[in-house]
Amino acid sequence: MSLRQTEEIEMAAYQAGDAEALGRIYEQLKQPLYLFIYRYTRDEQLSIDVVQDTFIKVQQYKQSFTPEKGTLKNFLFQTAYRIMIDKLNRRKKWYRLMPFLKPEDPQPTNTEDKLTVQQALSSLPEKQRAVILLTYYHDLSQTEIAQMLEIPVGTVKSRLHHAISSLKNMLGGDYL
Amino acid sequence: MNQDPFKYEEQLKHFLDSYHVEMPEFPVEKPGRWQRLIQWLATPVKNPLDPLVETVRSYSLAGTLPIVLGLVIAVIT
Repeated sequence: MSLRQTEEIEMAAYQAGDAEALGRIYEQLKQPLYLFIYRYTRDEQLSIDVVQDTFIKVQQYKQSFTPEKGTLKNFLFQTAYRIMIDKLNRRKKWYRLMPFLKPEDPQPTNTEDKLTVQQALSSLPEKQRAVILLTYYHDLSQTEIAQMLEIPVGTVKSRLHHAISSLKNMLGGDYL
Repeated sequence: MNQDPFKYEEQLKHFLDSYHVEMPEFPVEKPGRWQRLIQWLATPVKNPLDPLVETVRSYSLAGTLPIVLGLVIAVIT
């Protein structure tokens, strides 16, 4: 049985009233969700908040998921992405009003490679960043990404192409 | 089926693979409002006076300000 089928069976069980199924879904999908949000924002607390809020939404709107519309993973990623964008927009407004509330930049990490890949991804425009993270680290198809970000597949392709070109330009020289 | 856009990007793949993230353990439930407030208060923020502290002008300001203030106080009293 594929992972996708297992997730859908667990979700069907949860929709039918098996409360423990949510815990099993959480154990399976919290890591990919956290990694996506963390790589996008580089903010640990925000990433934890988004994952927890995503599962609160799942509890509130559990009946709105139907396998015909897409996979459970895609459903959760879409929910998490919307929550993350809302939170980031709210933060931007607050920081514009009160810039002294802005937290310190994330600490540089131990290895030079890791630091560079973090910086390179962070410096991509947000729209390109989401596409490359979902494609490379989460193995989502371009159709799934298009559905998740509510953009045409052609736009996904073009953002991915630009993201790859930008990364290659940024990392050109010593590394590539 | 989409063609793999990273098919011929071995070095880029190698580079992206070097991004490892350690995930902290956290429960499915959110902590209460008070705990979130405490976490928020404990979050380090930038020192708003940093731009003043690390410039030559700020050093001269720090050196002359006591003298100016002393003069002002002397004139007032």
